[in-house]
Amino acid sequence: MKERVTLELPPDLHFLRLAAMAGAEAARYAASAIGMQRQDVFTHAVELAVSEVFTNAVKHRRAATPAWHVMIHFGINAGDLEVIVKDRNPHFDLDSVPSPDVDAFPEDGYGLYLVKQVMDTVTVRREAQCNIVTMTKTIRPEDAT
Amino acid sequence: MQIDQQVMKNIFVFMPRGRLDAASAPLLRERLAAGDGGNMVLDFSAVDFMDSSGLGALVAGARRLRAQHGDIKLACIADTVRRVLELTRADRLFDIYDDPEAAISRFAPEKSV
Repeated sequence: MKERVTLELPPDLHFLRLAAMAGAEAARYAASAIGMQRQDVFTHAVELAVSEVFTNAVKHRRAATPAWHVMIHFGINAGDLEVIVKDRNPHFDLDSVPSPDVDAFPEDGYGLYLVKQVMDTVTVRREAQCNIVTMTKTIRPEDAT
Repeated sequence: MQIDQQVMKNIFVFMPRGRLDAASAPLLRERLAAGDGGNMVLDFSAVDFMDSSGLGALVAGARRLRAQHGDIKLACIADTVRRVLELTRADRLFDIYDDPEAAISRFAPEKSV
């Protein structure tokens, strides 16, 4: 089983819910393919990660750039999922984004920190003036709760 | 997002409905900032999703109210919301109750006669 789904969404927070719920549905499909009944943690992880990365793509948009869309690609396999989010924003280095000082309870800066926590792998590469964020998540026994 | 509001035993009770994300968090921030430093309860029984933007609104509201000697307590949070609070360790910042009445009673305990 290998299914591919791609969304092209305007860089606008009006489409945030659609992006995140598409992530949840893709995760649900991957979990169902291996017969998992309780998929809550797995689907929530993907929904949260897509919400965070799409939000970043919208917030860091350069106003002067020509119209472009955020591309979200789901590679759905039985029991695991790959999510690729592509935007035309200025380059950012994942390793240079500091983790929040959680003991200081900051008001922001949790987004990529959460993504790294809930997904198995997160990478960012620059290609043809695009940021390409690739995330993977594999179902583990503890996700079936 | 819609945010219902009522006053119970002199405590503001806010009940956001829907998803708490970057599209809706500014409204919650605005509502929490409009408080005058009093105590608030957030009834999350109708919130099924919260991301870092929603969390930021909660933390900002709590910090602001506490600076004014008020506080926020949370009630009826979904597992998805609790997970975000725990992953960021922000669960240490909030008292969390199973129902809004319990949270209100902690602000305004009934006096025995």
